[in-house]
Parts: sequence; C-alpha cells; structure tokens
Amino acid sequence: MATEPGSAVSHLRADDTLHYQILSQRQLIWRKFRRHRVAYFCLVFLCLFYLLAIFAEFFAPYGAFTRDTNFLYAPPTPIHFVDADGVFHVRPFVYKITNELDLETFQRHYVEDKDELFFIEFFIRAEPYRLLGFIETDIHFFGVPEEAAFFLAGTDGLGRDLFSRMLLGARTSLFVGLLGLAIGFVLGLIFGGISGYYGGSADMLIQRMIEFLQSLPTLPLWMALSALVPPDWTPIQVYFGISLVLASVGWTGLARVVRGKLISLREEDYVLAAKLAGLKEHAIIMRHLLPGFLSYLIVHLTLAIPHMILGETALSFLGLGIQPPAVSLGTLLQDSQNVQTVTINPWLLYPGAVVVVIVIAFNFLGDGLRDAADPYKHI
Amino acid sequence: MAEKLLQVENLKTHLPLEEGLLKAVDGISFTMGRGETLGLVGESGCGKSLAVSAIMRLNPSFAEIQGNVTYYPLAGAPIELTALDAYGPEIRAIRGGEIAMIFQEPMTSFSPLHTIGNQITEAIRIHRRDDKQAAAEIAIDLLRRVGMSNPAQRMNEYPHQLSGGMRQRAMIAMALSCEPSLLIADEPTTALDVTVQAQVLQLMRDLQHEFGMSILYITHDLGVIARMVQTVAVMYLGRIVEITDVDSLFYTAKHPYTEALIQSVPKLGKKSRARLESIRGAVPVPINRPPGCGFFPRCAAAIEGLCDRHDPPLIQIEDQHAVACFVYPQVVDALGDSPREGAHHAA
Amino acid sequence: MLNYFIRRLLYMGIVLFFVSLLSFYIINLPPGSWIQNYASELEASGDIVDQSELEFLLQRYGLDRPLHEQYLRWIIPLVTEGDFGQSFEWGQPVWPLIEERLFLTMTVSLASILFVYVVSVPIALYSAINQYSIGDYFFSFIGLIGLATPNFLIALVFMIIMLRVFGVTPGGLFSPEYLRAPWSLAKFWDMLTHLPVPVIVIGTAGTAGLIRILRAQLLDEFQKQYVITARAKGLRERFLIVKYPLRMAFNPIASNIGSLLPQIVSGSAIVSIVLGLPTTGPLLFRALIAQDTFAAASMLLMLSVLTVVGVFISDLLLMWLDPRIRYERSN
Repeated sequence: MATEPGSAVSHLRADDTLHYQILSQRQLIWRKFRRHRVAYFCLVFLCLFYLLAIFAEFFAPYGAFTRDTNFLYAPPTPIHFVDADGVFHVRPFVYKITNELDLETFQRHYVEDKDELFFIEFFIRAEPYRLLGFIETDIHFFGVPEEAAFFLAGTDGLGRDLFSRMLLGARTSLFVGLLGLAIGFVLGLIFGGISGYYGGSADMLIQRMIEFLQSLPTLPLWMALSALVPPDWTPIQVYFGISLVLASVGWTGLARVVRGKLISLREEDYVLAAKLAGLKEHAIIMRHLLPGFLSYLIVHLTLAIPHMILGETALSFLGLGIQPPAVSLGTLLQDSQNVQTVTINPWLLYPGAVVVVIVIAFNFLGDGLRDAADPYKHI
Repeated sequence: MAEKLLQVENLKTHLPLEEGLLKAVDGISFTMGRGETLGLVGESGCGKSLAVSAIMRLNPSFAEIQGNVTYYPLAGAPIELTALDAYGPEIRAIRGGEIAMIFQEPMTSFSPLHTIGNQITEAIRIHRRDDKQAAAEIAIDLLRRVGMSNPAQRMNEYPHQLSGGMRQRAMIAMALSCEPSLLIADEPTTALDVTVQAQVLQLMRDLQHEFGMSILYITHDLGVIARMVQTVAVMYLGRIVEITDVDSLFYTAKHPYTEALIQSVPKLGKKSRARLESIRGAVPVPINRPPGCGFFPRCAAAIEGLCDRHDPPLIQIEDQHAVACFVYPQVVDALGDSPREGAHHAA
Repeated sequence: MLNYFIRRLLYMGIVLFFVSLLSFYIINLPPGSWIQNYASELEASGDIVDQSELEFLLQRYGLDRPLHEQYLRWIIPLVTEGDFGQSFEWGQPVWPLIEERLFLTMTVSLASILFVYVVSVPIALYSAINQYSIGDYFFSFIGLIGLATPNFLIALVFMIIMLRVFGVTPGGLFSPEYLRAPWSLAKFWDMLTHLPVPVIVIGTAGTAGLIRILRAQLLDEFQKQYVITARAKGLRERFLIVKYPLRMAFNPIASNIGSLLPQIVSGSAIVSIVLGLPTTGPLLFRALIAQDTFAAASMLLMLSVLTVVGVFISDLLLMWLDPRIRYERSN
C-alpha cells in the first residue's frame, strides 16, 4: 500500500539531505537473513557441526571401533571441577572409573575412584588415525591419559565410546543427506526444467510420473529399494546406493518447485520485455529466470536435507540402510531397538537427540532463508 | 456548507517497520458535509488508502493511529471513530451500516467459496433485517438496480462466474445494501476496462442521487475526479498539499505538484506538439523522513534553504482554496507565525 | 462431472498397474531368489532337499521363466480371481496372511489421520489468531520437535517411559487373550483401547506438519482482501474468521490428504516394527529381506492402493469444498 513493492530505497537517518541507499538483491537477502537471529545462529551451528563431522577423528577421543571390554554399557563419565576435598580446579577433570559386577543382578556398576584424578587434556596424543583420510597423526582435540577413561556419552554393549561413534556417524548421515540431495537436485533440475520450460506432452508425462512417485508410501518403497543393495557391496558403494534410494523420491518435490517457478516466471512481463529486447534464450534463462528462483531453490534444498537425514536414519535403524561396521546415526540407534536395554542404558538414545537437533537446525535455517528470499515482503 | 457528516483532524497513520518509522499518513485534515463528494487524489504510495482505512479502523493492527475522526450520524451524538475498539460492537455497527466501502480489486474482494447472494445478504442481515427471505429480496432488488441481468439467478452464482465489471457492480450493490450515509470508494474503477469504468462511474453517480449519500473517492485518476466530485484534496507523501473545489483545481492549481500532475495527463482534442510532461523522480518512501517539503527533491520551483528545512503548512490563500507551498508568501508568513510547527516536524 | 470421475478412475487403474509392475520388478531385481536361498540353506544343514516341492513351486509360478512371464502369472490371477499367489516363506497363500493386517493398517492409518486433523486444526487456528503469543511459540516449538524427531524414536521413547513409569511393555494392538480370538465386539473394544499409543506416535509428525501449513495458510488468508471486505461489512471477528479464512484453509487441508496418507502409511510401517503392531509393516519388512516375492509385491501393491484411493477421495472432497475446482472440472 504505502510502500511500493520493489522500492529498495530508504532515507538515511542523521543526514539532512535526501539520500538514497540502493542495495543489490543479494545484499537485501543477506541483510534480512542476518536479522533472523535464530536462523543465523542455526547456520553458524550447522557450519560448526559439519566441521566437527569432517574432522571427526580429531575431535573424537577414541576410534570408532576401539573396544574397552572393561566398560560395557558404561554411563557417560561425569566431569568435575571440584575435587573430593572441595578444591576448585580451573581445568575440568574426571575420576578413574572402576566397575563392579553385582553378583545378584549380574549388572555392572561403574563407580568413581575419588583418589585418582585425571585432568582432561587438550591436543593429547592418543590413538593414531588419518585426518581427512591421508594425514597421519595421533593428536586428538581432547582426551584423558591412558590409565583413565573418558566417555562423554557413555559406551555401547561392546565397550566402544559412543561420543566418538556419534561424531563419525554424524559424518555419514550428514553427507549421505548431502549426496542424496545433490543427486535429487540434478534430477529435479533436469526434469523440472524440461517440464516447466517446454511444457506440452513432456510436461504432462513428467508430471504424471511425479504424481505417481509421490502417491507411493515412501518408506515401504525405500525399504524395497534398499533391499536391492547387494550385501557384498563395500561401505562406499552402499553409501552411494542409499543416497540414490533417498534421491529416488526426493527429486520429485524439487522438480515441482523448479517447474512451478519457471512457469510463473515465464509469464512475467520482464521476461517478455527481455525477449522483445532481443535477448537470446540462454541469456534470458541465466540473467532473468535463474536469479528469480535461485533463492527459492536454496530454501527448498535446505528443507530437503533433513528429510534425507531422517530417511537414512530410519532405513539404517531397520538394518536396511548403512550396514555395520560402517557407522551412521541410524546404525547407532540399532542398538536401542531392544527396549529393555535402552531403559537401563538411556544414553544409547543420544544419537537420536543429535538427529533431532540437526533436523531442527536445518528447519530453522530453511525458515529464515525462506523469509529472507523475499526481501521485499515487510514484516 | 451542508450539514456536517465527517470531520478528520490531524489524522496520522504511522507504521513501525524494521527499517524505521513509516509515516504513511502524516497529519491530514478535511471535513465532509452530508451529500457531498470529496476526492482524495494522489500517486500510488501517497497514503490515501491507509488514510481511509484508518477512518474505517480497518488498518493493520500494528499501525499507530493518531488524531481525530468524528462521524456525525443523523440521530444521536457525534461518534469519535478513532477512540473506538477496532473490533468492538460500536465500530461494527458503523461499518457497512453507516459507512460502506468499495475496494479496488473486484477479483479478490469476494470470497471465491461463497455465492454472491450469501455475501450480500450477510450485511443486510446484520444491519437491517435478520430474515433470510427478506434479506434475499432486498439483495435481488439491489442487484437489479446496479444493472445486473437475471438478479435472482446471480444470487446463486460464485464470483468466478462473473466478469470484472459485474463483480464490481455486485460489490456496489453490497456496499449500498444497508443504505449508508457515506460511501468510501477506494479506486473503484482502476482494475476495470475503460468502457466498463465509464458504466460503473455513471452507475455510481445515479445511485448517489437516488440514495442521497456522500461519497469519498480515492483515486489517482484525474479523469474520475473531474467527473465525479465537488471538492478535491491532493495528497503527497502522507500529507494534503492542496484542497479546493474541482474547477479551481483544474484551472487554477496552486501547488507545483498539482500543476505537474495535471500537466502529466494527456488531453484529447488539444492539438499540441508539446511533449507530455512527467514528474521527474519517484515518490520517496517516507521512512525516517527528513524535515522539509516532501516534494522538494522533485520540485522545479523549490526554494533552497526554505523548502528543504521546513514543512509547509496547509494555508487557505483564497476562498475555498488551501495550499501547502512556500511559493505563496501567505504560507511563508504562516510559518513565521508558528515556528514551532516546523520545529515540531523536524524533531 | 461424471466424465471427470471416469477419467480419474481410469487414471487410478493405470497408476496401480505401474505400481504392480514396479514393485514386482524391484523385488525381483536383487540377485538370487527365495527358492535358491532355501535350497542352499537346506543343503548346508545337510537335509535332503525335497526336489519335488521345489520343482512344484518352480513350475507353478514359472520361476525359471523370464521376469515378465512371472509377472503375468502373478498379476492375471490377482486381477481375475483375487488370488495374490503363494508366500514362499509361510508356505501358504498371501491373501489370508495379509487380509487382517491390511485391515488393521487401514484402521491405524485412518485413526492417525483423524488424530492429525482433530489436533492440528484448533491449534493452528489458535496460533494464527494469537500470532507471536506465548501459546503460539509453545505450539511452534512442540511442533518443530515433533517434525524433527523420527517417529521410531518417538515410539522408543514412549515405550521407555511406559516401562520406567508404569512397568509395562506396551505394544501390539490386542491384549494377549484376544490375539488369536475371532473378531467380536469385545476384541474390537480391546483394539480401541490399544490404539491411542500407536496413533499418537504415528500422527505426531503429520500433526506438526499440518499445524505449520495451516497456520501459514490462515495467516495468509487473514491478509486477503475478502477478509477486509467482510470486516468492512461489520461482521463479528469470530464469525468472520470461521466463515472465510478457515473455510478457505480447508482446501489445502483436503488436498493435503494426498501427501499425508503416504506419510502416515510410511510412518505406520516403521512404528509397527518398533511397537510390534500386527499391521503389514513388519510382515513386509520380513518378506523383503527374505525375498518372498509374491507376499512383498502384494503388500506393496495393497499399500499403494490404500494411498491412491485415499488421494482420490481427497480429490472428491476438494471438489465438494471448492466451487472453482468443481466448475473447472465439470467443464
């Protein structure tokens, strides 16, 4: 009403003369996005989380397959600042943990030995590993000396550190999501592009195909497709296989967005104007159509990643996705299939909490981007 | 002047946006008499629509309204509209009943899921008679009077089955259904074809005579103004810059903006090789607006040091002709009389 | 109108044909077959392979024939006689095996959809009217968590809470005494008392999603011109919201069934596995792993029938709700 749509012009305060500030579309979007504090926070959080996952071996105090048979189903190790004598330490420390077997219930109890105190050390030398797969090193971000044990999120039934496994598992889950998304993106762009730009019978055919795929119950379909992955495939191959399975349905939503946007933009007056001005087809697509829906595409992509992650988790949980010994958040949750076990050892559900946090962060990010993608919309 | 119907005094609508305070309507005043027609004219974005929705208390809830809008009903005491609860029963009795409104977009003004009849009788049943049969009869009669064929059948049709012109006729029928004293028409013909525009305008003139109501016209179309109204108020950037009768406006416009506006209308039958004038620049968005005349950056007659420092007050310089421009010495004098006025705005 | 109806039915038939083709091929794609696995298993355990039985299965279903012939041998009796073929693993016909489970899947799914609507419509309405209120933030937050949590995890957490707090292991749709009992009013009642847990677990994600969609839709509708028109008529706010924006928002709700139904059926599959519900989910899972071709393909097909028919019904509903769509389609 009072503001013209498209008027990216505003007066500057504290300046007596009329002064206009003109911002590019990208600057406007970024400005608007920055104002969405939660989304901005989630972006930072996710970036950090991806870093954590990429350098998982460095941040993990133990290896994913390192077993300590003294600690089967050990609860998370408590971190202390104040010792048994009431002395405050600036550096956090843990006590040495010993276990006792309760001969009546045959359950292990883990108790802190308050006499032996170990500081948590940073950049500590421990198990050797290959950073990014090729840099050989044995420096870990944090850990405790070998005589003690430090399980931030407890251990599983084989005595493996759940925190370390969660970091490595998160890497798998996060990147399966991205890979599936990338495949789905390409498919969606191709099919949506053909459908939206050419229309006619190609459009009709592709739309029917999408409707068909979308009307199928996703999970049973995924289950059937995952059953296709041969058991003798290497983890990497399985990884690709699962990404493909996830993308098989995931591309349809993207194709719809691309098509819808292309069709509506094709009708825009400025596209007609560009045509009348004699612009070539590819110039129209690149200069006028693509910027028009790039932001929507990014929003849609952001919101599609959590779907992929949830899909991978569900499949792996059922044993149809990523196969052990490979670790993903879903395979970690397999251990909690037995309700009795989880009830006694609730930390086995921590990987689930990680999934929830990641998905929530992606959702907030997507919401923030969606609001920002339309910088002219006030309020 | 006829019996007073509506008095607007120093009405302001401020919108607190993230970018700053948008003074969409910045202190406008005018008075309407019973049976009169007033035109509010200005470019899109000048705040005219927000001004009238403030009268009806229909503006978005985050808008800050200041000033007074007083409505004088036929019977009973004057009602202070700005003091009412925007969702309360008092304003609801006025909306549709005393003051009705026609909107710009006949396409979106009707709910697509309900029949025309349903939407027209609704108002009748609230304000006049809560009897389905009687309300339907009134509605059919109105549809006939606004020139719709087969009115009884139209009642059961959905908006998408009507053309734009027909929809606007239905809209007018709906607005008139409770015989309001004041009809606010917010660009009623902008979205219509030219030929349909003429028909609808003619219809509104006829109906005005028939019903004897006042009409407040909001438009950017000077042609409509010339045809339809007696008094014109020109708005620019949230303020009224000139107010006079329709003849004076077209023949002896005083404000540089009004002059430019009239210059920019193509004239038929006038053989002239002169180029059609346009006003340079665009209407700035009044966010964190600096002091001074809003038209200053676009004005050819601007006085440096005066126009960009002080707000020109709206001063009556001739009989029935007020203008807010420092080109006229009376306006400069008025500034000297009340230097606080300018200082107030600059703050 | 009738024309549209017939076209739509025809289209449904085509979709289901493709579904049957797709599910049959997908299941047969992995190398090996149930018969092979079975034979090698028997051999490994030292039993004498009953060649005649294997031979009989091979012959009857043409398992040594090309895939398209196998498909025809499955689909033709299915369509003409309602014979879904034989489950290898269970050694009995598929239909009696899945009949009750399909019915239960349908019951659980319908109950979940009902739950989704009953819960999300009032919450969305409240949130939209009181935008940015504490209640709005509260529901948005709960909804977000519901949306972000895989429903098998919700099922797990549910079970843990039940076990810890009440000391019972929930699960199943029936009390033990009714498990094998024939259907009776008492058994039906028993099922109803068991429904809430799975329905809440399955419905959470859908509810959270619908609240988001509906809230956004309502907020959008509140801004529409026709709402302002209605307000300018002097209508009461409550009446106006119910009559116009809410009515308008029911359109996306109806069309949402199309995407909600596959989601619910998916969710019920995995939740059933965790909660041990006697629906098609766990059986399908086993059949897929065991390459029990006919059983798996039949179940995939029937689950798709469920969703496709559901989408069809939602389409009819949409026509009934929206005069514009009715108008478009009857012409």
